[in-house]
Amino acid sequence: MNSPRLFLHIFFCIFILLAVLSSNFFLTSCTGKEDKQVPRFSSWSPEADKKADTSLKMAFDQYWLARSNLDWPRLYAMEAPHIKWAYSETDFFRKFGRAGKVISVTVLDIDKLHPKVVDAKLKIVVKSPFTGKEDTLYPRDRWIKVDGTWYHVWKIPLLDKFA
Amino acid sequence: MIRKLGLMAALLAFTFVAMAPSANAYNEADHVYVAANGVGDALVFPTYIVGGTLKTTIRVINTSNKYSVVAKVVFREGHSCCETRDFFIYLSPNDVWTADIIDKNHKVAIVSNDDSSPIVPLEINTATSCNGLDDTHGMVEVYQAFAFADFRGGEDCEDMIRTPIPKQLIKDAYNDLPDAFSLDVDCEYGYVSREFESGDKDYCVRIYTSKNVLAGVEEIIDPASGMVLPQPATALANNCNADKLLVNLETRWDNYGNNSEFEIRAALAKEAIHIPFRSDSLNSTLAVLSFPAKLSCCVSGSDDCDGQVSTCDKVTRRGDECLNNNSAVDGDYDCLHMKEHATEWANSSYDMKENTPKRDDPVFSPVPPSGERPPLVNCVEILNLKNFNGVDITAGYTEGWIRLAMTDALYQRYGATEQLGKYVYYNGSAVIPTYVEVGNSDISWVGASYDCANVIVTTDASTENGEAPTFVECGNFENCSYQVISPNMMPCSD
Repeated sequence: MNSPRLFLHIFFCIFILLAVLSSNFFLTSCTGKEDKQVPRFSSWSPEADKKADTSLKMAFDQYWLARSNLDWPRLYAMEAPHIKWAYSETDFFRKFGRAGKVISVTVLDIDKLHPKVVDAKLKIVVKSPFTGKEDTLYPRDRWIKVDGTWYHVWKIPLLDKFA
Repeated sequence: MIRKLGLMAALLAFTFVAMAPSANAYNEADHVYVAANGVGDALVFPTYIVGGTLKTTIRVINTSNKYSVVAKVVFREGHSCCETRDFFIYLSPNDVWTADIIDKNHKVAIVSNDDSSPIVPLEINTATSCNGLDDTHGMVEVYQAFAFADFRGGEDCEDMIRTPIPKQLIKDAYNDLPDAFSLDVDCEYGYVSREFESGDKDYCVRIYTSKNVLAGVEEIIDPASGMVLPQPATALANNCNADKLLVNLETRWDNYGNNSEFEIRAALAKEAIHIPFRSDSLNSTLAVLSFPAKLSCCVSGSDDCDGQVSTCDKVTRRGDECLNNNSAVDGDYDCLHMKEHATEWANSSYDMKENTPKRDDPVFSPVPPSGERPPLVNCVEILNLKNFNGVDITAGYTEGWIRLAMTDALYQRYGATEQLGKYVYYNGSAVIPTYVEVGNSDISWVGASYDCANVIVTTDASTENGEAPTFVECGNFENCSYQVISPNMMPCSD
């Protein structure tokens, strides 16, 4: 191989490498940019939107999107460690697997109980698993941050209200 | 307008004949009892819960294929049973009325598309009760006003109206009655025939006192987690209501039907209840105790209930519901009456091997008193057995059962009957006991078993030191046998 061809070959490799690196860079930037976008499944009131950080919004949106799809492995993965301690994935599904399909979620407000504990006041529309009718409900949804990651806390309403 | 003299005369004569049986006879035919078959003329839905993802559906069924029914539905908050909303429902034979109690943007609302509702569709918030207390849980009562049968129309009321009876006819038949209308007929067979107008046409109908035809079931529902907890309503039979009920006049157990509140309580009384439990990291048991005849709320709108809760609020966090009316307690206004409505309790707890905690002094009697046990003051108490009004009554066992002996305040347990000039006394508590088991894989809500109460009927109007009356004139019976074997028989009846 003579030197001009070698030079051309090296130039071509460097070009390809730069192209790959730059595409990675742009992809990463785009993904990073997407991370900062307002979630697409849930709606947020201006007050709630101001109070929640992006990571919470993203986790929240992914969670409720999974609820709308009844994606139980995903939901279980996003539950808080103590919920996972209390229920195996099988138990969790057995206990709550009849849950209704969520049609829409609006975050009305955010209560920061602690830097790592948040209650979201929600308005959700759920399709009843029994009648097929849509119910509008107003739960409080708890989230906790563990090792930098937000986790959902599944609560049993009766126990939450009276225990 | 029907104004034919012949028809009028016939109706009058008919009415007279119908009235012939003994009026207001306080006999075996018209004494209240808890209906074991779940069908009566008044119903108690022991607990509704709304808020968060919870809502409650109630159903009232007219099991009769003959009678149309007008009934008053009363919603009460769970602290002192103050009324938060009432209205009438109109049921044709074989009809069912369904409504949801929901959280509508953080306010309790009653919604229904059922054509038995007073307006269709029905969507109404509960009102702020006289004491302003939270009403996200409470109870619902259904008081049957009258039963109607034999609707007729056409010339001289000769044409029978066939089922389903149009709702408007039932409404008009009831609304046409004067506010002070009262039936003076035998409870079982008596009726009054009456003409009324509906849509410019004339009709005739027979009106009866309340009939034992209503049944009910409720469901506490969490659509978000797929939970449904059904529970039948408690039916009280033979109230024999003879007075027109009105929406602007509160209906309670002390002014409904042919029984006093003491007789209602005597029918509901239980000496003790039994609650099996599981209590660990995955399982909890909630006692759900409803006291429909506690009547700790004063009458809405009365002088006693002026909405001024500040005096009580500092001490008891209760409103002026504690200013009871119609009680034997003198009329002080210091809010201490809540104590006089309080239900005392004691428990025995057992694990699965008959073990029970050791008493401090097992040799000598009486056993030393246990620590302070805050009494039950609310009309609806929902308590985790691990924290039963501040006390862990599971005794630390993870599985077992509890005997819970409750005793109502004496002045609630001893008082006059509606008729006869007698007095009735019971031991125990007038409670509807249920419990919720929150298990590892499911949640269920069931009725608790219980020990029956002892009821004494006497002419003696006084007791001492909270003891049962010593002078027993005519009856001393256990209310379960009484209700099962001879449910209609009241000792001392004339």
